[in-house]
Amino acid sequence: MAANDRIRLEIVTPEKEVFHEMVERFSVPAEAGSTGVLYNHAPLLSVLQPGVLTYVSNGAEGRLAVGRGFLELHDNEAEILVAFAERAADIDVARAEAAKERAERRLRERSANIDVVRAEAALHRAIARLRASGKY
Amino acid sequence: MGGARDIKRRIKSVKSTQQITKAMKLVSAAKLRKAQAAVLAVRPFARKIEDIIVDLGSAGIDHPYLQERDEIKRSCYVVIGSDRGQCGGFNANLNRYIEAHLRQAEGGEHVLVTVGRKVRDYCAKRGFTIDYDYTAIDDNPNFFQAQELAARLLRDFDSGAYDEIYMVYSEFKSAMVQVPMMRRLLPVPEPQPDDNENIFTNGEYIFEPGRDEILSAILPQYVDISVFAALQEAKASEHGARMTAMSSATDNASEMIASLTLSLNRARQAAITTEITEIVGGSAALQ
Repeated sequence: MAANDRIRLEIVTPEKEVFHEMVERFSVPAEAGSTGVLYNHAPLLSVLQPGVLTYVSNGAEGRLAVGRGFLELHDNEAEILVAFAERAADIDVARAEAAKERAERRLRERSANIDVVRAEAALHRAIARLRASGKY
Repeated sequence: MGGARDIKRRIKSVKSTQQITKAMKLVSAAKLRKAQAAVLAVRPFARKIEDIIVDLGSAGIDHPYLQERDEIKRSCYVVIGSDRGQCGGFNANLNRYIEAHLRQAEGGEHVLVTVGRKVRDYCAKRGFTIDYDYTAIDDNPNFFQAQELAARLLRDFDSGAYDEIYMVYSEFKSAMVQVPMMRRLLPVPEPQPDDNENIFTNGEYIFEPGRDEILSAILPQYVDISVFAALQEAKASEHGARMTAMSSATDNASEMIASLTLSLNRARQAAITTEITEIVGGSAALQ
């Protein structure tokens, strides 16, 4: 691979830009499963599920937890719009674990006044964060 | 003369009020800066989603969230105000705006979802139907709060509880000017096609999964982001309004202190003059 065969990868949440780097390749949690993107990939518009995004930049691998969103890719410029994104290094494992337990308990109990959609979203978020941090 | 002591006391009290308004002004200015940055941060995200919807929509793909319902039985207005006062006409303008709208609204039922204590109290007092209300939105609204509200609105739209949903909030023009405005949230208004060609539907793009699924996935997120953007815009307006109100309160306090100081000096002078006259009068009487 030539040295300048890089993809510009931008990850944006509604709150801020989380990530903006040149990477050699990356893979995203698409609906059908993890999808890898290499240099000169065809234009792509894809729906993303909460999960783990991995990338390779200068030979080193990095990981992020991402939420529901989209990937738009053309001419080696990838823009990822997601509800949340967190670099693996920034993830507080203890907090994510606590959030996961809380969400699971809520879903198990299914008491009348809980919001199932919300609890499920919280669970997915927590699982994505735990997996990105390498635990799970 | 007792007047001087009263005036002194008033000056002291105005001064301490002025210190409070000054502090509030500075706090609001700092919060406004943050809120403005947040408003700007959400724009690229929203624009991108709009681009995709415009492209997919103009390719003839339809979706319940894009369709007008034939019969509007129930309209919902999400009115976004603030919990706290001390922000000039911010809430009052919003309240007047929605009240005027509801008074002349026709056909079907019109209900409210309020954000912020002030709007809720005003509308409840006037007997408008409030389906539910949110209070205690953070100074920097986070996306999860917006999603929570959006999820509830989408559910009620899906179930047919609402046939259309509008958002009413103050548009942030500048720190001095905030204008109440109304935008339709659902059905998603026909987006204005821009001049860029349809980059996504010119045949080059691979859609993963299909176009329909992408549109179904993107529209709820568009609603999330619209609610989020509205909450942020309303917050920026609130801080702007508060900053302006507190700034003029501080100026008014300065003016008041100046005129009170003048009266104080006059009263003191009058007291001295009276005293001298009495002494002179007293000594003249002795001679």
